[in-house]
Amino acid sequence: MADVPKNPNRVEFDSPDHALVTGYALTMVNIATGEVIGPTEVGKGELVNGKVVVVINVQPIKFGRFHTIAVARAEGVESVPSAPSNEWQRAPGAPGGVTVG
Amino acid sequence: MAEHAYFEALLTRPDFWLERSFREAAHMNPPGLVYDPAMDAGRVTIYAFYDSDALDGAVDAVTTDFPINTTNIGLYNVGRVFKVDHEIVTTVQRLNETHIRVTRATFGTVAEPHAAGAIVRHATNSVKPVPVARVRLGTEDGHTYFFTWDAYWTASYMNAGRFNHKAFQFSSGSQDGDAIWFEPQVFYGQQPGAVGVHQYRTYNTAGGPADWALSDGNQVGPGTQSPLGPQTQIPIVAGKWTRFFLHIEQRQNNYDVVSAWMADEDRNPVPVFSRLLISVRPTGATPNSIHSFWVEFNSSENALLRLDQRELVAYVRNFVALRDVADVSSLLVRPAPGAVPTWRPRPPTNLRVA
Repeated sequence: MADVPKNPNRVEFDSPDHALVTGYALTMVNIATGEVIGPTEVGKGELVNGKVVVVINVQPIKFGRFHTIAVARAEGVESVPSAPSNEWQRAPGAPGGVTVG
Repeated sequence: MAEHAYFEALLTRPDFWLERSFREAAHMNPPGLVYDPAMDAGRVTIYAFYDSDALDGAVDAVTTDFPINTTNIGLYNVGRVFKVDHEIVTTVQRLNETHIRVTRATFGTVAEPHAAGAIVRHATNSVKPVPVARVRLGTEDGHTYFFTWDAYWTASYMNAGRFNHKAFQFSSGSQDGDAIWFEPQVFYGQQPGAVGVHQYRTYNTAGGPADWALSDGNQVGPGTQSPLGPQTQIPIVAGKWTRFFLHIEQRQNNYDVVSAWMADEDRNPVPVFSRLLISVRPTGATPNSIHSFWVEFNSSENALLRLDQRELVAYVRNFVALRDVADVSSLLVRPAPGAVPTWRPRPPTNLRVA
């Protein structure tokens, strides 16, 4: 089984109409509860090796396991939703700065 | 609806012969021709690449020699562009029957390894399948026929490069009787502000004698030039329904007399040509007969001309044939405006969160 990324910070995808697109919006779907978070505008991202890469911040999201869905937007119209991404996890970060006094 | 009033009226005439609305599921032929309810018409879509082959073996990100399927060697002429995964490559040499040499990472893409069996997708400017629709006609000598149909080119065709389409086709002759014969064409990228220009081509040869019986049966008559002339090239405007009209007097043992007009939402019908002499082919499986009308959208230009790889979208609707029409002039009516297509971007694919 593939590793489930924990607290991810980017989404990458192919976008056949990237040249005509003004931006993308992402929706996070909690796999267990079906709760939908978003859509959130993430801008047009950056083309890296032919893929669109957008930076995300999942810190405000409650802990759980998620899929991400994307739409492309252009001048008042948007694409149908993409197929869901791989699964990822929002989890507590490891404690930092631990000191024993 | 007002936009179909002309079509509906033709169906009720006593000289009505046959029709194909391209507004029913049975008339569709995906992926190239699908029904668009918003436009109430058949949507003709040309994708920048189509699934054409599969790699016969894996390649790394460096090699320039690609293993390909021997039976598909004809796809790999020098200069042909194809896409594997996200990488676009260009054929530069056929090494033998099983390998070609390519330039890697063309058109701004990045070289990447490809697995055996990876789908090869060739660049194209033609609809798939081609032709995307055939309407069986079966005309006969001794009758006159009036054909009309509507088409709509979206702005996706603007600045899409210089190439031409056998946009439609009337077929006649050959072993199955269904060979290309008389062809409404569009030449794209030729006139500023227009999608292209419309004209006809005949596959009859030049130089037919005055007496048709002395011709070889596949020639144009005196005063008519081949590929076809004299005729006027008419500009086609994006985002407007364009209406085509063709009238043919199919004469027994003689040249056949053809006239054509074109109109759009803003322009009344104007002649493309008048009373030219051509020959419905007297040979083949269905001699002396126009076998079929095709929606073809076929180009012999295979280069990747639109670097944004956008889809080319047009619409077709309301083909009607009348037989033995007494007066054509009252039938020359320009199309009414209809719905306007809404373009939307294609969705992202292969999402990966990391």
